[in-house]
Amino acid sequence: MNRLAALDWIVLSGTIATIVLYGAWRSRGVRDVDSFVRGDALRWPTIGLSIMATQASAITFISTPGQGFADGMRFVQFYFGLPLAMIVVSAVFVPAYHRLKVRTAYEYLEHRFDARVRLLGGVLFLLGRGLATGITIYAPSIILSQILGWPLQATIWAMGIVVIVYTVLGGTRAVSITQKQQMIVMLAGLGVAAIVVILRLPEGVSVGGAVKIAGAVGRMDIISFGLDLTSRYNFWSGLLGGFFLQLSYFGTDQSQVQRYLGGSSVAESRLGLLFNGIFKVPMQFLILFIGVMVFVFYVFSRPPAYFDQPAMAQASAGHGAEIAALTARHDQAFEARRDAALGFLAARGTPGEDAARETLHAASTRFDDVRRDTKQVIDHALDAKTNDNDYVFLSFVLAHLPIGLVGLLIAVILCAAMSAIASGLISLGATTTVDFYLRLRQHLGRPAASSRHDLRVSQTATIAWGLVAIGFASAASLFANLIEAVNILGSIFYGTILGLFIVAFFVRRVTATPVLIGAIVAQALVVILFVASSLSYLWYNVIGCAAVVLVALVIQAVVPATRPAPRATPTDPPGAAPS
Amino acid sequence: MREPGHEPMSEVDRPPPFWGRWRRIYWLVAGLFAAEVVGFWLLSRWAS
Repeated sequence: MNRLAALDWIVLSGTIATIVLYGAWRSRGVRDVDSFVRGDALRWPTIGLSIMATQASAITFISTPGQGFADGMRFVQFYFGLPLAMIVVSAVFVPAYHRLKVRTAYEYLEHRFDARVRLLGGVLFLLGRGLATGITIYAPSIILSQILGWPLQATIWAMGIVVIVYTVLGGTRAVSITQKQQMIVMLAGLGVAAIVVILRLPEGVSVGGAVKIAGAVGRMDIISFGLDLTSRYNFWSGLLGGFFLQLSYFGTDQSQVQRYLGGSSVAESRLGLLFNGIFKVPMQFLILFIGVMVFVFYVFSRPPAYFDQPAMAQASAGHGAEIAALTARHDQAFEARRDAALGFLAARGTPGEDAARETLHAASTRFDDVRRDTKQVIDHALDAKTNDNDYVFLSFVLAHLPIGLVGLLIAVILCAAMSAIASGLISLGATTTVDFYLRLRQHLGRPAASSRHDLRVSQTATIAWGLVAIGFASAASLFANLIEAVNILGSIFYGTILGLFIVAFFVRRVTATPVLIGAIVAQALVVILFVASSLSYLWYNVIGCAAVVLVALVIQAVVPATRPAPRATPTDPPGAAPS
Repeated sequence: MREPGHEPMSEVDRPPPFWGRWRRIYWLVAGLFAAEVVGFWLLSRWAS
């Protein structure tokens, strides 16, 4: 079992403590619910980095290099819709939210339609984000606990409690300020990792040579223009499906909306979003590229037969002979692939280059076959679905980075986890308070309570959601394939939520009841597609959104009793628009 | 006192702090993305 050195612990705990204390100090003095939820007066660099940190969970830094290692660079296409989505959110969503001075995205739905639609949007958000925040805690905890030997439950609770404390004390401002520092640590850690992995390449293997080796075995197929609807990542699914997914996430998910609503002006909010539009794709490219370079490193340096060593050890207990045979095959395949790679490098620029590339490709395919067989045996032995790629990058960090930098890279992963958890909790607390508690009190005709009382409600709701997320994370290991299930559930809901907002912004004649029916029909359609088809999940966002718009338009046209809604204005009280 | 016909500009309609118009900044973001796609395509071709 790998353990951290004393210097690693100092770097790790020093980094985390400094960020948390600095954020708590800078955000002291939260006195009312508005400053807790909105965190006003943030500048665009803070907003931009906070937006990036919210989207980058620990899994981004654990799994994405593993994805580059195993599957190459093509996953970067998943983010191709993001820059265009940032432009649309900046041009359309931000002005609409600022005009009405809303505190949550779902508040806008009531201004435009009615309280039922606001409730539907809020419920869909709470369901999806509540589950996702639990997974945001669980997923890195399970990997860190297995690799570092930390107790799983202690890791989950420690991470959750720290985030709850600074989120509740400092509100949105604390979340955004800590995220800025956390993102700076993440970017620094990424840069260090990229430099170290390149320096660790064997003598005589340049960066260009490493890229050529990766290209010869299919790891550098960054873009595919083929239109295959079942292919998860290609240019078109990334651009179109990704556009709708990112538009929904950044335009309607309160965990992101809250980041830019805290801007000191509309311009600051817009520039923060566009900052993300410029730097997100290069950042994902860099993370995947690190994974590809780790792959090339292990072409020349013998990797473990399975990076998830605890799983390997458990499987060996009952299937020792099979694992030993696979390890022998792994060693032979490694040597054949290494020799083929050296042959390919020597043949570059000669007439034999094509033949050497073919030989390397075949050797790499045989090596991948051994890894696949090993995974099957381990999965069968443990009666569980393991994902070895999640362990590749952390194993490399622990085995090959200098002492001190290991602590920095673990800090990067914890920073990423904490930033995503904090955004999730503060947005869940805000939506519960603003869209449900305060709205219900208004509906019941109760007089306004003191701002201190409302602040206490927000803080209590945030704590409650934190405990729910920790509880969910603690129980997550009881369910097989839960992470995959929750990820798919999230993508199923996003199209419908986006459809509600698209109708709200662009189809003025549609009123509340048609859009509600449209949302229900669209949700049913997406669920049927999920159950009965092999369509890539990115397309659910396009189909769900389009179905809401089309069904709402048809119902609006065939039901003469419904009247067009006047456009909401900043002076309209909630519920002013007729339904 | 405001001059007649000169309503204060809404915050939403204010231009960006640089480059004069938001549309130019949007084109910059889109242009950089297009350049990235071309760069990725060239890198893919060179590597394989």
